[in-house]
Amino acid sequence: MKKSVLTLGLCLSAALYTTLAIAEKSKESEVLKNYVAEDQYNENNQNISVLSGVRASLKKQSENNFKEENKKLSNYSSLDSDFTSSDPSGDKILLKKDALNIFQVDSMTSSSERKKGVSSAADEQVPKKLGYRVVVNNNTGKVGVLSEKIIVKASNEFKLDKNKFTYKGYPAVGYYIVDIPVGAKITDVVREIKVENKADSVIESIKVEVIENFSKKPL
Amino acid sequence: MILNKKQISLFSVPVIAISFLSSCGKTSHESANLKSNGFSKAELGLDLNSETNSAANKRKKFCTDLDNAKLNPLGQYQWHLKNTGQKAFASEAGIAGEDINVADVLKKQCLSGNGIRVAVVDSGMEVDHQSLRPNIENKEFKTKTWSINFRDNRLASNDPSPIADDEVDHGTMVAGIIGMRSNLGFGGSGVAPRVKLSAYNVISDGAQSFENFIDALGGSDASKENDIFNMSYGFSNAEQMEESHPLIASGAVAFRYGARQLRDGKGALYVKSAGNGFQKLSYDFRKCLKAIELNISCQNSNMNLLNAMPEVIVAGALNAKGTKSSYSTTGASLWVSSPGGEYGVDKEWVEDNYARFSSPINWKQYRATIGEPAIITTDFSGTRYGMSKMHDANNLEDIINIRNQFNALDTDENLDGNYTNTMNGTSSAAPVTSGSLALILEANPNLTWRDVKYILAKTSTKVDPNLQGTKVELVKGEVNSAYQVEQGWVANAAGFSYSNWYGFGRVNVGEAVKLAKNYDASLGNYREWSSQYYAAKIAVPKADPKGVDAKINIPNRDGLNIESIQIQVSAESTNLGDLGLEITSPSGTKSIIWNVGNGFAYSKKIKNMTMQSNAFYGEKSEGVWTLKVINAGFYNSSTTFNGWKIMVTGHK
Repeated sequence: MKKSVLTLGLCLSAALYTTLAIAEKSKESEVLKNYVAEDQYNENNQNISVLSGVRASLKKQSENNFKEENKKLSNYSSLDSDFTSSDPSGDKILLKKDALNIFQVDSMTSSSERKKGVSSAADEQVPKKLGYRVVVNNNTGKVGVLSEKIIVKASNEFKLDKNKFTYKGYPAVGYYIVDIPVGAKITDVVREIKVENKADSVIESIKVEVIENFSKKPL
Repeated sequence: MILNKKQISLFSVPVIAISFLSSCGKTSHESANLKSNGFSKAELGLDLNSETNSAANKRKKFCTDLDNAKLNPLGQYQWHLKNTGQKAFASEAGIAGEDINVADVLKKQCLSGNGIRVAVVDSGMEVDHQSLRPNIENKEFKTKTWSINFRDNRLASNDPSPIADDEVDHGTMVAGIIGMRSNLGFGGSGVAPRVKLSAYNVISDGAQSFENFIDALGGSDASKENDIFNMSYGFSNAEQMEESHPLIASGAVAFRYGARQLRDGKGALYVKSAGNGFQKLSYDFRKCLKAIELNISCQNSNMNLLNAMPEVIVAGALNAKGTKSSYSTTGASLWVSSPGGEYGVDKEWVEDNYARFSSPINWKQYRATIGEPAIITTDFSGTRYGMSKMHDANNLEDIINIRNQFNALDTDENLDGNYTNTMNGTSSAAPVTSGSLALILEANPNLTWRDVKYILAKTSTKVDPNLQGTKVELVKGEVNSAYQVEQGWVANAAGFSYSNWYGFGRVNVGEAVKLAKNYDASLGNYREWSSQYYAAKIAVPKADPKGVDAKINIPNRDGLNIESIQIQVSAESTNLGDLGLEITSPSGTKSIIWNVGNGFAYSKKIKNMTMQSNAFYGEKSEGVWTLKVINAGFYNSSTTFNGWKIMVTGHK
């Protein structure tokens, strides 16, 4: 009798925990719904919005990995995402997700970094100290950050105007990594990449690098 | 007693160790060298500077005697190298002989990894660690390889060392397992104690990007001259990851390139951890409940592409008793297993410390294997950081976290906190494997990446030989519903024994080196063949062990001697935890490539997902292949099989 009650209790706790975890995950983009998009990109199977007024920074993670699974519900502290309103740095943290803290920033600070167009932006990227730009995947509702890079799979005939763009080529493996210049719209950058490489045969794919979490972990 | 001793060690002045360079046998060129200042030539790197790039140095033999406690004080505890049944400062002893059979290779054959370069693709590496520094060449564009610091910190661009904020450094522990310099009069030995190390801290948060992974894995000037890439990291994804994901695509591109182009076309060796997901995966613990109940793996090694490619040697972990470590992920893409240990807790030491507070510890809340030995290796130097460090003896959580007197700086061999005995995981199994490969390549530098895989498959030790696998009744009480959820060892038609738990078995360095030295096999040109994709839409009956069969015929003209089999498969389900996939070769060998009850439970769909099986190695590929699709019915799901294709790599 006692055992069954205990089992029921555990099951209910598990169900409650799971419900909360799943609900919180689905709220990832919901919590950022009041922030407008400063840039949008919807091509090549990607549909993302870059949000204004928020940035992401890295936070430390720790894990005690030798506790027996499922013995203590309180051990499950490493949710994919959780929410809080305070932070030692003083920034208002809106969302914690794996290694990321997503926080609100002064919109003037944010927009002042975004004055230049593609034509004058080579060698400049958003300073990391401001934090990563925050991206919402409009297809999945998941939140990530921009690495400020565009990954182009292309033949070794790939070319770009080096006065406009900073890029790094790996011709041996057929990849080119193009920095997104400060102030440039992603769509404009992608368009220019395509224009400069007129032949469709040169470019196989273009992907804006979005990191939804820094998901490779030491084992 | 223990308390007093501990307090003394906590406040003791660090002792400068006396270093030795030893001579060992006729082939050794090292000589005994006691120096009054405590620093040996090797420690200062003087021997490296004078010998670097010299062909003569590459041929030199350096001997390591693990039993020589003066030269290698920690050697006697390093059970993964020489298992004498020691406890290694944990509660329980291992079993003598359950190791990688390397002691004589180090001592009598005097192999050391000399001339071989290993990349530690990880969180970093403390380049000034006293036991690593002698094996690190790190001058940008001057040495053949150098490290890269991808982090946005104040360290130099070639310094991937941890910073104080890190507290522990995984990469430093991994590096020591591969190439801790031996014969210094302090520390112990890596598997390959003269290997050249470089590190790429790409696993650090913020450094993970497509570009950085390419640079770390052989795509940059800094990394391209490495012979071996060690990857003690992985994903814990509980649903399919797109192969175009930047962190997947970068690895896949690098592996394919490196295996074909690096090492002057002989191909670099990519070694990767299988995963620590036997009982745990993602934040949602529901996903592993069925696997735990059945004692099968929650994480399958095929859950993302980086563990399912022929160019990658996937390593599982073994404990000091010679069986699978409690956490080690299983699956058909494993190639070998190596020691990774358990958790290294000395229960008596913990209990003694808890007793001071009249606070008994409840061991039942911890894993049953917590008291078995873990791996001894280098640690973030000093007494403030790392796994071994000063701890608060009045804090119960600190006591359990420090685990034992070795980490508590309470042993003569580790007063300074430069080493730890609690490194574990498939993160440890991978570098044991990488170090072993360095010895194999030193024995025969002409081997290709495929030759090395062959040697491992041919010589690895069949551990846990009576492993039976797991059988369950899909419908309780109905004998006809009995289903083999996981198999034990399976002998294939080419004479290789394979297990999803162990791959081809535990790396046996002695036998592998012997075969490497006398290697005369010819694997011929590497070929890749793929069938077309066969779409389907077939409902899979619930709780029926017969499942649904799909067949693909490989014509005789396309037949290969198999080096790897991959499938791409699509299915959808109201709960993928019910999905199981088995492949049977034309020769009749069966491989469970996707076990039912795994951690994809509660996800809904896989589409063109790549999975690999190594169980058919050496068989002929021509003939009819059968894919059996199972709906276990654990979750009463509706499951539909949507199609598949098969891909073969090998030679004519």
